[in-house]
Amino acid sequence: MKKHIFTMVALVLLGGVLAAAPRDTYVYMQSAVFDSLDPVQAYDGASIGVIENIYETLYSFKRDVPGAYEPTLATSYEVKDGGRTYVYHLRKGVQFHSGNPMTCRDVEYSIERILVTMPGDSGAWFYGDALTGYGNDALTEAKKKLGDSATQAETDRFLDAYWQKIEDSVVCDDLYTVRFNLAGPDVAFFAKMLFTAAGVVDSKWAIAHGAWSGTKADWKDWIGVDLRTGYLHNHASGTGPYRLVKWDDKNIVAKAFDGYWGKAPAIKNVLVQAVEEEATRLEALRRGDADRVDVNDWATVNAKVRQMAGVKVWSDPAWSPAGAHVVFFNFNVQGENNPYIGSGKLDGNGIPRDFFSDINVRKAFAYCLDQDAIYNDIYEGNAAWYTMALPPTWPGYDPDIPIRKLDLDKAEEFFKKAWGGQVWKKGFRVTITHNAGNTVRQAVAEMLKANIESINPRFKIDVVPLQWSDYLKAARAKSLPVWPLGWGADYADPDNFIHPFYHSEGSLAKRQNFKNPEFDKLIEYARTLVRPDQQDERFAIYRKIGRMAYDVLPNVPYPRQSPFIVTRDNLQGVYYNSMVSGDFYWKDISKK
Amino acid sequence: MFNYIARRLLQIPVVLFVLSLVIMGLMQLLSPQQRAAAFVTSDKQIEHLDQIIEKYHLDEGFLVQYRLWASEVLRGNLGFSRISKEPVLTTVRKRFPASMELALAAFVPIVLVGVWLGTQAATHRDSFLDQALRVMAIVGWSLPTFVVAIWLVAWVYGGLGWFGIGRLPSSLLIELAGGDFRRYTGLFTIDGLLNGRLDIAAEALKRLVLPAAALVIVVSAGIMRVMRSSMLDELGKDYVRTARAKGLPEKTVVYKHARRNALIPVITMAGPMLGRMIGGIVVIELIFNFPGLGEWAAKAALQLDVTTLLAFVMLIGLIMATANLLVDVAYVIVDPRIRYE
Amino acid sequence: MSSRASLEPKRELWYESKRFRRFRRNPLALAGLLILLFFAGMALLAPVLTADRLPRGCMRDLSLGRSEARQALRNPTRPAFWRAAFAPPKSCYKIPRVSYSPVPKPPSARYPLGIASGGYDIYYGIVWGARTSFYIGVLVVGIVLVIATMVGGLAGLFGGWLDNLLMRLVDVVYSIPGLVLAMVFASIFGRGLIKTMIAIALVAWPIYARMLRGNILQVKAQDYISAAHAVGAGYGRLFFKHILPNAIGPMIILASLDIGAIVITASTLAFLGLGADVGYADWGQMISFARSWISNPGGEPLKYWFVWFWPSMAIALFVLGWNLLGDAVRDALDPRS
Repeated sequence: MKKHIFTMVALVLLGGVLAAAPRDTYVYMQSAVFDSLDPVQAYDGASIGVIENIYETLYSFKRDVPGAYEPTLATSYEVKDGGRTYVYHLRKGVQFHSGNPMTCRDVEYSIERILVTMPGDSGAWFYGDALTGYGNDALTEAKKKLGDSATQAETDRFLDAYWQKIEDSVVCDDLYTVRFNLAGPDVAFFAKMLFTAAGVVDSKWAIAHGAWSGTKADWKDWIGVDLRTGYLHNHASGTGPYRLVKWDDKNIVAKAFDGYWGKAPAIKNVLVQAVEEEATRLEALRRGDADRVDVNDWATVNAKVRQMAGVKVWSDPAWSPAGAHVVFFNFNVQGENNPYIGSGKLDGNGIPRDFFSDINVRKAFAYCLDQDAIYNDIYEGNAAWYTMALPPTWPGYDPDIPIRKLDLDKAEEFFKKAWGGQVWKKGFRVTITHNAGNTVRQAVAEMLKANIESINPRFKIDVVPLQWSDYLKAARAKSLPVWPLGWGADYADPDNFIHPFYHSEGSLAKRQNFKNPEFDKLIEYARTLVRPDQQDERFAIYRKIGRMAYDVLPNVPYPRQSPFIVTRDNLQGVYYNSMVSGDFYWKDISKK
Repeated sequence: MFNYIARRLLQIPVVLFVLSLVIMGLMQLLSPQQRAAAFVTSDKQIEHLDQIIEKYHLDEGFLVQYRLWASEVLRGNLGFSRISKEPVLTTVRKRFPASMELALAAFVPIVLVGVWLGTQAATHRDSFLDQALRVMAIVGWSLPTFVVAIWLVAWVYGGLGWFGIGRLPSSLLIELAGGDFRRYTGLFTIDGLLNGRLDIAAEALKRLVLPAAALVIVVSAGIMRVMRSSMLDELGKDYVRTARAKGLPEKTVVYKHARRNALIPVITMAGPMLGRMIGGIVVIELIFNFPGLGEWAAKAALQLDVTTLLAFVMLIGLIMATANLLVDVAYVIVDPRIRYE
Repeated sequence: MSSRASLEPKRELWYESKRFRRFRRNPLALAGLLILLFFAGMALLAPVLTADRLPRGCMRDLSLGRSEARQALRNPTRPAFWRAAFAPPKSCYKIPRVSYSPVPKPPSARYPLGIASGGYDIYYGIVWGARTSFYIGVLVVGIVLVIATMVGGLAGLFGGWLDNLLMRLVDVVYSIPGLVLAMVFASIFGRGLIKTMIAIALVAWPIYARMLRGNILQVKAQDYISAAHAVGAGYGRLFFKHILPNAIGPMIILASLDIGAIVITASTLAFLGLGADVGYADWGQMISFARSWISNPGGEPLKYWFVWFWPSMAIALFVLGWNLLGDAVRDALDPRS
């Protein structure tokens, strides 16, 4: 007994007795928590980072070649009817984690499940847009079309028609051929099918465990349902190289799947942990308790990570994130008693609602944003320049568009021109808001404040951090006058940025009441260019839009941090793919 | 006596009910969009904000929302936690043992250290030991718990490399997911021993040391102060002087008689001390990455997850009410002069 | 004349009283007083101590130029000196940012306590943070007293069902640990110093309400009150003329002595992300943005010690001062010893 106690005490005091993980185990400590493991429900990086290793889509991103794809669950595909029909030929001999074989029925079930449930807080909307033409679930669309006072009969009729659209949009020609009938030509459909929501789910297994039956019989029970309450929220049967062992609170454990159709991965066991304290993550990295950790920013990497033994920082200036950050201007600020616009008049104590509709004001603000300081001070030189709101390595991006750097003289010139000289004479007061806790956006806001206020003492800027709840309220009410914001890609097509940012019906442009018919016309026209031989023309249009945006200035893009990956130095095969949520697939790495 | 206990027990649901009303009521101060904060977590979802608000009835009036929640609770469904992404009861079942383990690991040292040091200080009044202990106690009591936790992380864990963070190391977590390990109590120290896994028990204990130490430093200081002052009171009383005059050994006088009576004010303090401990546990779990209820509640408060908050507040209310009742019962045991009607 | 004087009892001045003398002799009490005087001095002289490093917004709101500020604020003959000392504009509480770099820089001649993550001048934050701490203490105590007087007063005066109801309310608030409830309130009210203070006050009032109610019940039982009542004096008059003046004194003293606990709660909330906004001169908030630099794995462990050391020492000393003073005053007032 005494000996046991002694051993225990010794074990207790000796740190690191059970340190480094074995060679076939990969431990990743990330900063964000998981939302859901249901492929249809998950819309956050943390969850998708796990799902993309457990479920597979018909085609997937090719390792480290940006913009390239490789056949995965499908071996080939054809585009017919001018982009209205996509036919995929499925791979034979693929097994699910449950042992069930994969057939077209599973693909049909998986996609129809998206269209039936259409959770509002997921990425289902762009599948609905493409396949049924509806961006919302059946009941919401019914209400939109028929109004609140519709009779049950009218609603049922609408629902039946909606169901018919779902059924018609995905069809199995035979056991290994699936046909998608789109609502209209959609050039981005192929890219959309690479997003994890289109991951193929084991339909027999799912149905056996209480998920939607796959038929019209109970589809109404699943309309708009929160899939976090379903079985697939924390259980999985996919075709991927890893199967889910357990999701326990902040830890997910996965094991290599023996029946995987592809090459067996070197890593057999994976543990992904959500650890929000960076200090804990870094300490675990140092001790070897974790093989890879998330690090907040380059400054921390340079100050703390580089001095650690046995640690490697992977980076490459060619790597570019699949996102964009801009400062938005609101062309017509809404909201009664809006505290962000002060008096609401151009009297030195506020701004009128259409303050930013004058191009001179926008230009002046743009010249007050110190892009170099963001690039050099905040990101310590590890960043990517942005000339427009599109990831720099994507087609349609034009690197030759100029970037307005800090120029207080020019800013002064434009302020003097703004609103017929009234801005300069009377001054103004406006609030720049930013998401509370986001230090980069706070710095951008404060930089703007410092520079603008230095030009004319009558210019007053307040920088106010917004709690998330207040941000929601303001975003919905379109009451923010000027604010920095970031946006990540859903699917690998430039339209996923161009439309939200520049089209008057785009989700972001709507918030700033930006309407420019010339932009709209071009973007809509680009959407009709679906043939492969038309793509160059489409990308040329996007470049043109970027150049127009320089002149019209609906928003000011600013640099984004260059991606980096921090791991123990015995990890091999690490690469960066901006569309892979976890940066790389687990199956491609190994440990020395 | 039993009447008294019964009355107190009946009061508990009333208090919980009022608490739930207060919190739900406060949430009504916010607009529906603000209340959606726990449901909409990224800019991408804002496009469907209205839909989400409708789905979760966030725009309904107070009575409707309360009725929806209450009817579910009465059916045993405490709702879905947007923080842990699973049903509230599941999270409570999983995380309660963790916080309990931390609380127990701290409670015993707190009581022992506080009572013993307080007694020593009182019996060696005005000596150097007494002065030193008094200074230590007041310094300990003046430190915010999170400051002590931070100092421990920085100096002991970071600087010296001793002990650990989290509840178990990664390698053991992978193993535990496999399912061979039987959970009897949910406390890894005890379950480890019961499963014959000394290493699990040791690792769990190792990671309890620092968080418990943070609690002990602060709370035992408070206990020590009260113990000392109440001991001094007791030792000044007539019966002590009489006992000494009669020739009873000092040890008997102090430990058998005076201390027993001196414990009464300390028990009075048990309520506020427990409160301070629970507050401390919340912060400590955050800093040490300990997956307990405190961390869960802190996140729920920050992200306005009402369902989780309501469940947590109810649970704490229940614990505190029970603890207070136990304290009052303990009074009767310790001091037979006290009677309740 | 002289004979008349000798017949009147000698009135004891408070600083000659036995209680004060006991207080004076207590070394811990003096230590506490000194600590608080130190912080009070720091708070009052904040503009003087930081005249050479004020944030631009502060100088603009005081209508001072940069070089002007240095002299004006150190010169008691200038009105700006008094304005800054007693009613500085809100912008003076925003810690000036030296740069935007996320990496802290160690203490230097120009920045004697170092620069925190985000380029914040720690010295400035500590000095103006003293003001914030006093402000928090006083404001919360003020709100607490208002609520406690209302609730305790109503309960004690009217008794009956109102008393029962209000005391149940007290039970409800008591049933949850202060920090947890304050956290819930603070996150619903939103971020911001004043909202957080209201949240803390809403949690701290019960004990004082009970105290006042107890006082009232005691006084009510006394003969002269029932006599006055019999003669027709209304409740209001009784309350404001007889009861409140006697009860309020001890209440204020005891509430003030709890400022230590209030500051602890406030700094914990700030650390959690509630409380003052990032960059505001508040010690708890300064620890919050030091969070990721507390440890330095792989390198010198205490390399960024200054980021958390100064604010946490400031909080610890401040609270210690109040607790020492509080202990001593309570000891002095205690009729038993």
